[in-house]
Amino acid sequence: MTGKRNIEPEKSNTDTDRWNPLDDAPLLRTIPKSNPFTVPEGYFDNLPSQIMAQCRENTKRMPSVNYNRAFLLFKPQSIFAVLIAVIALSVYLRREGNKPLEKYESIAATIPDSVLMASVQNNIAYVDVSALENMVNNQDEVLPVNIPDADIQDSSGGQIINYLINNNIDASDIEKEL
Amino acid sequence: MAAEEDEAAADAALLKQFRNPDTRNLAFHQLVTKYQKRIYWQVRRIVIDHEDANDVVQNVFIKVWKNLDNFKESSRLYTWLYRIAVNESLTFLKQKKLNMFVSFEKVEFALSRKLRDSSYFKGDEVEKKLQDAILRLPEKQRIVFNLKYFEEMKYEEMAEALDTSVGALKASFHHAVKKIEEFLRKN
Repeated sequence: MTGKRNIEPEKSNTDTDRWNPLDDAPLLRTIPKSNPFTVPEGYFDNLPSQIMAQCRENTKRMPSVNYNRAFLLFKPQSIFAVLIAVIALSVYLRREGNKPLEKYESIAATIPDSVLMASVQNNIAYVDVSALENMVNNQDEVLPVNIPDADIQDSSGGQIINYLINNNIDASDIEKEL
Repeated sequence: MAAEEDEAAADAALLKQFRNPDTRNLAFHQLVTKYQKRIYWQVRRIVIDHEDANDVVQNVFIKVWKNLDNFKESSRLYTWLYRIAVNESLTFLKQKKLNMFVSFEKVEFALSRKLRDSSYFKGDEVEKKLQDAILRLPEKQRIVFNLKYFEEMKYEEMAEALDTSVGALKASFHHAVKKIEEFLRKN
């Protein structure tokens, strides 16, 4: 099989003029070698003018064509670069958005204490000072006044005896009254 | 041989005119007029449909217009034109295949159907059968068969145009003839 393959091309190379594959194709030889295709009438009369018009048009558009070609050449890369930039930006924003407290703390750490104190004093106007003064002056109203009752409610037997002694009250008088 | 030399001399004169800005358009017009039929029929046998062939031929000559300044006269002008025409035709078929999103075999069947429906085909049933058989050949064998059988191009010229060896071309033509004969016998 391999030997046969080697022989055939050799034969064709050395016998260029005489060897003809058509000799072994009787059916093919019966078919006339005419051109079965046709073209519209006058086609070849107009074709050179059409081609010349296109060539002239092509020459006029040459710079823009080059620009468009360059744009098309880099278009996929541009799209890819923009995609990468959008993805990187979204990742960055997401990471920053997840730690705002860290961000404010880090900013505050850079402010000196003196500046912070000055800022608090300057902003004291926002506190209602008169309300604070009223609270201080009317402290009695705020605090509980019925202290003896409280003492009695919570007092033990020793404290009652001391009260009776201090006020010269006789226990038998109390029994009589009861 | 003398006719070939005359043609080569005429082509050299055309190229000289083309390189002169004053006679550039005129020279190219003459070049198109001289080679349009040979290029058209070569393209038409590959793409089958006239409208498609018209598009491809125009693309071929626009490409020639753009690149003729770079043409090295080491090869013959018409083999260079044939090479561009074959490449453009194959690119067109590949594009068609992509657009149709089908396998190459199905494109061949589509071309065969086009051949039967075309109003620009005057062949009888036997000639249609022959074209069907040619369409079933692999791409390279089809091009080689068309150039050798219909154009009667010499193997040496074909080798130059298709950038391949004479031996490979002979083998391709031999296989193509065998397959066509077989198809005709079966059908």
